[in-house]
Amino acid sequence: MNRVLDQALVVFRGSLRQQLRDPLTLLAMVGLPVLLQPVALFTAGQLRTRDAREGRSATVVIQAPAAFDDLTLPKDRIERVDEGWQDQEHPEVLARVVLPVDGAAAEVHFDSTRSRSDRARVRAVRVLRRVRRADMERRFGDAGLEGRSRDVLPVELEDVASSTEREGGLLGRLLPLMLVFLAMNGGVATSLHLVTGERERKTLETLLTARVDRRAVLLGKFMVVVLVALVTAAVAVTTLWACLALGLYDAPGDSIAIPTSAMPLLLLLLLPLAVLMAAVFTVVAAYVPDFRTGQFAAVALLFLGLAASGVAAFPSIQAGYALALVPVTNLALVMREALVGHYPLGILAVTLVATGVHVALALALGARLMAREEVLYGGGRSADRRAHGRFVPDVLGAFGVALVLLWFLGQRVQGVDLLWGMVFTQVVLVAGVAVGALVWLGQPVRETLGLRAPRPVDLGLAVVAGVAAPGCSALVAWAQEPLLPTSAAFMESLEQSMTLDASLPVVVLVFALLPAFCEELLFRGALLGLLRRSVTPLLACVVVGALFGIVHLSVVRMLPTGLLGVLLCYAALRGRSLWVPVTIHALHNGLLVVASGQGWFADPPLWMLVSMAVVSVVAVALMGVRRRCV
Amino acid sequence: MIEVCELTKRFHSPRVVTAVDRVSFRCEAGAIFGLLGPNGAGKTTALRMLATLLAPDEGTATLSGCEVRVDPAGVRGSIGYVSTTTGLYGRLTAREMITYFARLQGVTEPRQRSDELVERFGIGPFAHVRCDRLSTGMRQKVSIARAVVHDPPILILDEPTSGLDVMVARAFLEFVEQARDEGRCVLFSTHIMSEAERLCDRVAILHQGRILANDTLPALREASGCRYLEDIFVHFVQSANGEDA
Repeated sequence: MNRVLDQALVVFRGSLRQQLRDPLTLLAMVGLPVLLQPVALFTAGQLRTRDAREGRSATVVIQAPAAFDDLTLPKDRIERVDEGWQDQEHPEVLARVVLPVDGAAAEVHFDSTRSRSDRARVRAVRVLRRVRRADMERRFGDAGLEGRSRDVLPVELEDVASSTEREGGLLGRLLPLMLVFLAMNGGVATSLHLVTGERERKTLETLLTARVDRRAVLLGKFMVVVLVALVTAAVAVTTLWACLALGLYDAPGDSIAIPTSAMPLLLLLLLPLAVLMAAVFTVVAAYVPDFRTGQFAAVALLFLGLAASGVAAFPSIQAGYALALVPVTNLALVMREALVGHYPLGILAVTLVATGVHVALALALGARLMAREEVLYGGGRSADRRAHGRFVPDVLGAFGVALVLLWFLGQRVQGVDLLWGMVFTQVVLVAGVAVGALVWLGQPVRETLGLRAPRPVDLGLAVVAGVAAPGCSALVAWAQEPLLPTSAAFMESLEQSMTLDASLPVVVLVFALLPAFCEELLFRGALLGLLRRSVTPLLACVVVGALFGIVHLSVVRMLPTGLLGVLLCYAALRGRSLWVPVTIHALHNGLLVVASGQGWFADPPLWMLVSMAVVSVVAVALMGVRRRCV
Repeated sequence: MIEVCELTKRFHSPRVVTAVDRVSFRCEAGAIFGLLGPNGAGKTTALRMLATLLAPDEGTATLSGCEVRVDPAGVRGSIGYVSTTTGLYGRLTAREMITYFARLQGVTEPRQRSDELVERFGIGPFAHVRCDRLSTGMRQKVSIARAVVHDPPILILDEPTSGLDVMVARAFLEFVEQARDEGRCVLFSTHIMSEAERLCDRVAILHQGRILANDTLPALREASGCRYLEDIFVHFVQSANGEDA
């Protein structure tokens, strides 16, 4: 390991030297934060000042009939005009109030697309309230009553936030977003230059023929990206702090500042942010085939990063242990808390540990990519990738196509006619995508799908597993009930679909057997068949199981169907034939359809569910045992 | 020094293509072994497997006692690899480039070694110039210095004169001869017959991933009945095509 670190340091120094001679890197690292940020802050401050000033002095005219002759108006640019007054002739007027003659509602004319006009509307409404109050007091006076009219429940506003919270509040909502953007901007250019660019300039091949470990190459370049992203973010924070200290941001009513006590934590949090950005970008740069594709990927990642950090802009979303596990969002929320003077140590610890895990996962993936020979040509180039048996993007692409079709077309067709819509959905949108994807990729269809005869013993075990399989999904549904309760609406829609105006054999055929075959063609056939060439069998089972859970388009069904999907994947791999999971799936669906139609097992005892689940899993585990011994 | 046995590499895109098909040869120290073949014959794939850039599907390749799959770092430590696709870092100067690779290769005195090579290859006048501002000839000198910075016993040269003008190519061929005289084992791939004729002690003719002939030039002349290497090459390729048909 020491050797790898030594080599990584050599790569780091060499790459950094080159990078620091790149004007674009220097611009992204220092130029952008130093130049753009004060300019943006200053402009924002001036705009807010001007807006507020113009809002205060917005011209409002009041068109009042003779009944309001004794109306007293404030003197500040509020003018009374006659009935014949025309808007078009007075563009400087921002809002017009028309007072009614016969007790109808007063009208306020304004232009919502102009912020000045919108502010004038607020003033006009305020003036109307004043007019109403004056009118009421006049009537009280006429009736011989003394005193002033009072609000039914007077309200006094009192801000309980401390000055630190008030000053850091606005900044806490915006700063994480800005820091993520700048760190990403600094990191992405560097990583693309150091990895994708090296490949295009043919220097990566030169580097990889040297006696240097590929992990050291990745680590060395990663360290350069970390440094650039870190410096970019640190320059941004320091510049912002300096801007605020120098009073460059001068906005009335909005006092903002970076609390001095928050600065150490803020700077400390920049490190995991930079490390995470660097890890993700280095991996992406190692994967994409060329610079142009890398830039597209960078834009997508930038949006993801901004969306994740933008969570901090919503005051209603509080930092918590669950969000502390979400990449980028966790760091943004902790930064926001630090800026308002809160230091939740537990959440901070979970955030740092989770970020460490995210970085480790990204780097492990990067090391795997670097170890592959197609790193020289770009793992993302589809022809080269597929030439080396890597089908992960194709699997996700095929699943995405199926999901979009099911969401936009399948649901709609089933809404028109449930029975025939189901047939269309399964045959065309599910099985069609499975076969179409394999034909598109030029893969052998029968072989990839696993359409071969199973051993009779495996088929027998599949029957046992299939009969017991409803216990698996029911057990999971029972276990998740406290967290994800099954809604009455969901149960109603499920029962409705199972109690069609059709004979039981037709319902079993359409809702049990057909989905069993078509969904197995897609999930255990095409997707698992392609994915198992790229990743370990366990990971392939988990991923395809998760996709199977997602495709059912129901939060409640996601986990039960997802775990059933994993079991079906395991059965497909153990039984080495698609007919094995088809049998289990068909029996599972068929029993559920018949049981719901007949009202069986309305509330099965827990021991029965557990027993069925165990039988199902054991039956699948026993598949292929004799074959392995032979 | 280099021992290749039944080396095979397949690509699957989408049908299986065998780029290198059970290739075997030996190359000794102090000799130049020429791998001769047209574009797409599998020369680069074979050499990339020897340089550990690609992993073979079958077969073995041992360089200076290190097997490419068992000890790839050991292999890379014993080879100097130059090809048309090995680039230089544009933002490093010539001297920095050599020193950087000396460090990567684990040379104990990288600056001293860099100075030696700068002097030996006449890089001095442009040692402080960034590589992206060098002429083709200068770049080639830096490339060679980079490849031999760790004094490797084996040189793998993949069409190194491709795209060079006559004077630069000539200087490069002189360097190859010099390397042989120093006792290095040189594996040289080319599709330029005159280069192979001038340099190679032994020639293997590679066509569609397979070696059609592997012998000394006089032996190949005798076997084919042809005088010039170009005719010898055509003879073997046509014979192979006739057999395939």
